[in-house]
Amino acid sequence: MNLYFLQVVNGIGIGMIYFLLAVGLSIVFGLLRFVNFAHGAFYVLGAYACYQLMQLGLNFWLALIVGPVVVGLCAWLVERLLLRKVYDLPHEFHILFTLGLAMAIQELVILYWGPVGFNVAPPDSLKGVVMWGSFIYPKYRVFLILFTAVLAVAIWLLLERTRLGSIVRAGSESPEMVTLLRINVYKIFGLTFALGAWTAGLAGVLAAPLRGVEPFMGIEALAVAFVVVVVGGMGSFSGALLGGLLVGIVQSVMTTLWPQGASLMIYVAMALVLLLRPDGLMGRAQ
Amino acid sequence: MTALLCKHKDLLLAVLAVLILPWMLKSGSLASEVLIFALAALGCNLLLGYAGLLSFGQGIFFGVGSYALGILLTRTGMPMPAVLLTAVVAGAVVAGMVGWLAIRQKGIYFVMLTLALTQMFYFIAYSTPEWTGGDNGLLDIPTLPLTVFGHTLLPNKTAWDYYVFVAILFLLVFWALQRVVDSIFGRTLLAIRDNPARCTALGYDIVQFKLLAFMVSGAVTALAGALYAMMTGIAPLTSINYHMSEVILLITVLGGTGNLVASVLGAAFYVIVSDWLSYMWPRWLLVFGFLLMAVSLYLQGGLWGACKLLFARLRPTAAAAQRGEEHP
Amino acid sequence: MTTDAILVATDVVKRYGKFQALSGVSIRIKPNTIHSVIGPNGAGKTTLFHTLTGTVLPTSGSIVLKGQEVARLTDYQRVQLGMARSFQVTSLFPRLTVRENLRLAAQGVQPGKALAFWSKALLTGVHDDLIESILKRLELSACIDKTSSQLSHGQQRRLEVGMALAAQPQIIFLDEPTSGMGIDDIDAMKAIIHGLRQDLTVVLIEHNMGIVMDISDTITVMQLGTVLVEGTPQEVKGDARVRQAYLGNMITGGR
Repeated sequence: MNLYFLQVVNGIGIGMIYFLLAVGLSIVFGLLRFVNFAHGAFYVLGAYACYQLMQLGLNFWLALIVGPVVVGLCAWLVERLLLRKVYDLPHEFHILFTLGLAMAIQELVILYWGPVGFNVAPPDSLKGVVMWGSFIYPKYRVFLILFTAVLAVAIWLLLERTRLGSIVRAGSESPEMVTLLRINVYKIFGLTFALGAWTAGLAGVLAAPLRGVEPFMGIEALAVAFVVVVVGGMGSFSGALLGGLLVGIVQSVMTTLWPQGASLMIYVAMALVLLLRPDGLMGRAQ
Repeated sequence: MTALLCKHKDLLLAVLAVLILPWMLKSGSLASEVLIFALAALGCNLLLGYAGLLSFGQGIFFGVGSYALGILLTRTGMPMPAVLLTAVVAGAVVAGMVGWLAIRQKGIYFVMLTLALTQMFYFIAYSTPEWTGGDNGLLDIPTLPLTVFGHTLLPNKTAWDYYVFVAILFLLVFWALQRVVDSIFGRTLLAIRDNPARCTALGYDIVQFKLLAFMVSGAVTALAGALYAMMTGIAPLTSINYHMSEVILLITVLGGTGNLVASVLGAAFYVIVSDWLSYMWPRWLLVFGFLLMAVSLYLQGGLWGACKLLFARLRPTAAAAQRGEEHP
Repeated sequence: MTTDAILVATDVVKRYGKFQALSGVSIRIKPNTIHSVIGPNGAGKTTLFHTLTGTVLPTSGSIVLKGQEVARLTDYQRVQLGMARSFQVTSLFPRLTVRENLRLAAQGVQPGKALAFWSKALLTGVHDDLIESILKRLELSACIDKTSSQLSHGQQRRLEVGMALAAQPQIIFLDEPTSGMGIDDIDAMKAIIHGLRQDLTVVLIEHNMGIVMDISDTITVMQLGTVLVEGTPQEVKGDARVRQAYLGNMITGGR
């Protein structure tokens, strides 16, 4: 009983990372109207940035701040210099361009850091466990849940209370609305793309002490982000949260029941949800 | 006579490619690899260029074909042609299941779902080592001769023997797909790609058409996977993973989606260039990443599109005539 | 009276999230008539068309076509029962020829045959007579081998109607067929629509009151998602509520 409870709590932690990934994808889609297939690559970059910064002597907390910003900056440059030219083309080419970008980033990562992964240690202040009566739990994972919860509230405020957020939500529901709001969206395209990459990079930094870093973690992250978005609905905050937690918990619980099949069960769960509710958990905002 | 040649010019170009490869390449297995991946690209092209479906799931069918052939050849005494047929049918059936789940999802959800399903099938293969050999894959798959009633038609002993076998199958499939693309079904697919709302208003059940296209694509891609497994002697996990889907898509887009011959071009380019580069630099995939970005930005028609542009510069009147015949 | 109508819609409601586009619309369409639906912008006319033809499924309500309940059927299913429509914004296959556009439209009532893997599309000639007669009716015979994007706007609007006719329907829905047309084209279209009355039932959304008043048998006036008034052109022209809805002067047109 205790073991399953632990796994559920683990699942919440990892699920929040998945939620973060999915929300970043949604924000980019809501405004730029395409799915960034390099999202997983930005996740990898964030994780490796964390590793590299810590190798250079920075502590984890600084890496947590600087890493995602560096990733966001790279994304912003890509948008300004290259991505802009793709907007007028048919949808497939947005996806294919970012696919090429993802391939290139992955190869560059291997080029610089090698094909073998590394471990990343959590900061000293978060090493060890927390004890709450008979409940023993790693400090880092507690931090993860608390930090991402605060982040979730901040993102919710961004989506519900700011102009950018209303555009994202409106854009996800009806593309015509975005043009009607008469905002110069081109100016904020770069910022939005960078924001999406920033969330992916942040998710990568947060995941690094849990999972370590390795070049092929990007595709796994991208696939899971897609699962969350397909199940929870694009542009839906509650969908991303629910979907992320569902995926995280399924994965964690399955590592106890059937370790080899833990990853498989994420996708089986997704297939089941889609069979029973083709429009996802929250219904599609058509 | 020239009219007949013009009508079948795509098939003739395919035949030309098949004849040129042995002359260009020293390695029979490399030449076979070109045709095998051309088959896979044809399957992807049917979806992308004709049905308007961007599928990240082609690796699923390639892998299914590989594993089906591998399992049947190493565990049963089924004759090779029957094994190939079974692999093709398996590809169609799996494509039917995947398609049924994915096609009901609109727009971008479809694309994302095909990627997620690729991961799912990868993990299925990974977690059932009794069937797939898991991490190691299936090993020692024999390359069997083509025999009919005890008579050996093709010995398939050497790499070039096998190339002949692959080439014949390739040309047959190419011819068949050309007919499908020119048929009422093919033209309806094009219409669905260009204006789905209009098609449903006219009475077409779009899902049904897309599903059928998906199954044809799955069948062709599974054949490619099966032929590849028989050539290399192994059915590894990498036949069914995301990277395979990625590469098939890359080849299709690099070649271009305007025409079936484009897929042959794309496959030849990828297989030959990657083979050449891999001797010099382990990170050669980086080049293709950049190429994909460049094609997306500047040359959406791919290599075939570039050829057409070149042709237009050199022979303006002939190009205009050809433009009238190309599919839109 | 009920047996008279070819299409009976009762209490059709359509909600998009919190927005109610149609609030219980009932309409009865008699066979071989021209039934126009008019109303100011935002009245819900196109939404009504969408629910009647199946482009969009109604939130609730009943739609009975020739005695059969069709409200929960999709548009491609309703086409098989004798319905066809044109669109307010021209929706053709721009890269295909006029001939092929119409062939696809004609094939739509036999979608099973469109699964034919093997037969060359344009060589079968099955629909040639139908295509020719439609083009003659619409005065587009000269354009048969041009791609639809090469046509003028007026010609494209006529082809829009042609696409609906190719299904050989019993009831046809035309959504602003004359929108954006010049005077000559409008007159030609008016004559074409009027001529359709013999063979089928026409349901029409139009802003051009000249056409509406001249050729309609029945007019339904909509406003804010409900039916305001329904009657003959004379009755509608004289109705005070209609005048108010249109701010007075738009409905006195017509010759």
